[in-house]
Amino acid sequence: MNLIGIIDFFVFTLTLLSLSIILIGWKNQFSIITKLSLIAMMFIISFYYLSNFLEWSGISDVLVNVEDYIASLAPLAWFFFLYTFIQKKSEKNLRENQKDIEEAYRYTEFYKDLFTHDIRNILQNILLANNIIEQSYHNQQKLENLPEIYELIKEQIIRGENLISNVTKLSEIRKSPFPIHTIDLKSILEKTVEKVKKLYEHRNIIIQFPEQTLLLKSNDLLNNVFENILVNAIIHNKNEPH
Amino acid sequence: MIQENELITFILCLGALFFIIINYGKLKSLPSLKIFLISFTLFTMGWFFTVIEGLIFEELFNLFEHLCYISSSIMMFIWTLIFFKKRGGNEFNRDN
Repeated sequence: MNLIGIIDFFVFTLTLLSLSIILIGWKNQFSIITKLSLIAMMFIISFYYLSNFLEWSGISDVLVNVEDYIASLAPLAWFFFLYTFIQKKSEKNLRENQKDIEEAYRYTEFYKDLFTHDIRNILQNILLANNIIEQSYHNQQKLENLPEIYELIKEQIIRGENLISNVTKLSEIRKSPFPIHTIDLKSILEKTVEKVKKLYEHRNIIIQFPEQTLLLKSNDLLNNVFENILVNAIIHNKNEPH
Repeated sequence: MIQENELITFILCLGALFFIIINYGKLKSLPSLKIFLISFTLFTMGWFFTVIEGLIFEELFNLFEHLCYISSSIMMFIWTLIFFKKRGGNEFNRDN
């Protein structure tokens, strides 16, 4: 056997080994069409190398006549394998993009609903306050209620500000989740109660909570949770403190 | 003398190589892409020498041709081995 024959023997053996690895070892690596095109490519190359080996080692010339025709399919098989790979990859990217768009649409709808409901409510309250002020110009008795009306308008503006702040926070959470760390519950509650009392200083607010230190794992948005609970409790609670 | 079918195969190889170059960015997610591409480039070079051997230095370019084939198959074998070793990893389920 001459040098070329020996080289071709190794070429054919290595290609057969590669083909065997692809057939035996690869499960779920590619989609079926991509895998089939890769296997077809390896079969064509193996055939070409086998023909070369038989020819150059002087064993047989039987495959020489068809060798060149089969060999011309090899670059096409390489091309087809890479094309199907790109195609499947593009399909996957498209599916992911569609998912992102659908999610973004759902969030837009959610923000729209949130804004529509809350802003309408705030505007209605301000409009109501404005009507009362207008009427009070003609009715001196109603002028006594003006401080309460101004307070109502101030509350509605604060609600509007909080709504904008909450929507901004929601949007930020979606983009990058806040990191979790150890927080002292007592200090959070103290700060939140102080803030809420300042917002509703005209109300007689008494808030009690345990004095002991409580450590918990949470993110920086925990104070917003307590703030929302307290603000809602103040808005909707008509009871006088005992 | 140049054989037509060899020249056609070489041109087809060049076409596939051109396709790879213009789509290189999209192919980057193919694991061990460089090894795979080296294998194909060596295969194309083999066909280049097949064509050239019909014009000059037949024996020398024939040897080059077969050396290119063995290098190409070694690279392809390495590529499949890398795949086999990392079988089951999520990184390879990218086109499914």
